[in-house]
Amino acid sequence: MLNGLNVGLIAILIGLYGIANSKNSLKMMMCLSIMGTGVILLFVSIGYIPEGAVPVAGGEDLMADAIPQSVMVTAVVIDLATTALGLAMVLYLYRTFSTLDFASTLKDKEDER
Amino acid sequence: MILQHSLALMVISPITAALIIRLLSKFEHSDLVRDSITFIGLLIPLVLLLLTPLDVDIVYEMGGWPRPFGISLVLNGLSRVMVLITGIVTLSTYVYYVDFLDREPEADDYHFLFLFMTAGLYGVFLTGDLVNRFIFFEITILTTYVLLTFIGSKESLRASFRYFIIGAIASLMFLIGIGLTYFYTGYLDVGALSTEVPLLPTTARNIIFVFFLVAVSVKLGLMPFHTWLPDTHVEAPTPMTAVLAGVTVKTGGYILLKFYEMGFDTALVQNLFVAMGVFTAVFGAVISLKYVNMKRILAWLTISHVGVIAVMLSLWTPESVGAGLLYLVNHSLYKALLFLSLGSFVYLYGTSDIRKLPIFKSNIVLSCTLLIGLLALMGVPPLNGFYSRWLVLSSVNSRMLYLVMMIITTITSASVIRIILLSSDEEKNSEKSLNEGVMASLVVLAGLTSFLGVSVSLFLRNVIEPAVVSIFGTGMGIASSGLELQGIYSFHGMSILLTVILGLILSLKRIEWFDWSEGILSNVTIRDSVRYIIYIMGFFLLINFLF
Repeated sequence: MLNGLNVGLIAILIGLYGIANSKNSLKMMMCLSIMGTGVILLFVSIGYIPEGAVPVAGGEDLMADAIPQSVMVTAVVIDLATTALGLAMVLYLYRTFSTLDFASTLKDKEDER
Repeated sequence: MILQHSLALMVISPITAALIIRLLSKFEHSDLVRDSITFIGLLIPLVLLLLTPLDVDIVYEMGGWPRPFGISLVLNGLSRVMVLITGIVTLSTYVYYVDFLDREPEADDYHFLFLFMTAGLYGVFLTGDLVNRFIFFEITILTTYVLLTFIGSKESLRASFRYFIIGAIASLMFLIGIGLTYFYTGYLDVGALSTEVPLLPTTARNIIFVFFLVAVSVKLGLMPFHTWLPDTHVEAPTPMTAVLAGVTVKTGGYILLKFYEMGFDTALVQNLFVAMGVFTAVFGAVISLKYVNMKRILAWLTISHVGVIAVMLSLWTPESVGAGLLYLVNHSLYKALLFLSLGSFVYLYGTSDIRKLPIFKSNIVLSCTLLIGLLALMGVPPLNGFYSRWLVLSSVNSRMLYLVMMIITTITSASVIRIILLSSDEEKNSEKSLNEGVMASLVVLAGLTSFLGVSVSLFLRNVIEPAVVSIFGTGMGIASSGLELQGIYSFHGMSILLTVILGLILSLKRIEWFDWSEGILSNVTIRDSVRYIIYIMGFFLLINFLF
């Protein structure tokens, strides 16, 4: 069934798969964003009520649940900060190692233990 | 009047100081002004904590909204313990580092981020609902990523990015878990959840906990999720290493304890954490035997100790949780002390290779503090490490686990004695010298490490006991006085002394230390760690549905 919960779960799994299987650190960041979006979709769908109205005080009887939505507003902000920080790190990684392949930077390690 | 709002002030005062510093950095200012503002911002929470009476639980409702619906801050026995170690460790590490900072061009940024990290830590420990715990958790972790790279070496950037990816996955898992909890119960407040969650069927609780499991284990650094921990500890600037090992890792233990208290204490979850904890504790100690970089050795010993803490908290009896909490506090203090004094050695002699460190032939204060830390880590009687081990041994409920704990302490003491044996005998002269702030923080931490050893009954009675009572409603049931001497001359005390002697024998036999563990556990890529996460979650779900 193609509702918000399932689509959110699929997006989360795609993101996890992508992080596990991409060497490129920029792709890792993209997959992390996909995962974050999936979580937000999942969370908002939890508060969804079929045929419910917009949750405004003094509105109709059947309203969507407002708490997941308000939590998600915060989560979106945190997601933004996380993505910005991650991209900045990727930029500095590229400047120091001149490659986006994160796994290859790990090989020249174990100098002095 | 101020005491009434003390909980809000504990979180707000570091944030306010951070914002003032950010504003100040736009203008010409002297270092002294900035440093004193930071110092005051870090000091206020600790002073407020000491001003509040010890036996009173305070609940502060933000904005006056009542508890299950509004946002609340809670100071009970448990969070008091955590706030106490946060205050001590952050303040002492700041005092330690302030003089080094004044020479750095980006010192303003460090102050800003450090204050925000401290505020996040206080928030994690004080808040009374899940969503705010997540938010403060994120504040802490996002600032930590940046602070880790403050020295700016290549390796620190790499370590920080790896921590970033794993930590971001863990945070998202935490968020999914919160969503599912809300879906099943309709509450986000911890107090309301602790009556609602136990009503859920066991399977539902297990499924929700799969997601929390990842968040908690990554934070704690339990074994398949530990991959970020050694590198960050080695590459981070000295005070950040102390804060990471001392407090940030411990947030995982606190959150685990909160989840158990909330009603996720199913047999499956507890058994899994005991198994992971034992595995972590044994292998963390074993792997520490093969390195010569002392920071790396201490980082692996941190992993090992965290395993012990996870086991003790997961046994979930009043005695074991009390033992776990005492272990947690003591570990924070002596690990912060060890990392700070080791950082001074690195500053003076430019190396952290134990074969080149003149541990006994250095500045007398520095040698003494490092030695106190090492002895406490080993579990030598008058110091605090001994008593936390004693409580652990006296509260495990099976002989098998008793034996495992003995083995862990044996390997740990072997690792510590190896550090002392391999250390250099040559007298080295360094043109650099240490200032008063460094000495003061080292002496204070060493003093606390010794003080919690020689007056352990006082601490148990006044701090650990209320924490256990706040969780279980009953105390630990341990004789609350005279533990100092009785502990040494008891069966468990003799066991610990035996482990120290065994460790000495083990470290004198110079075997080539366990090279086989290299590829399996100590050098893992991001890809492998994500796979571990998926495997563990799948394994957990499989067991849940099979039985």
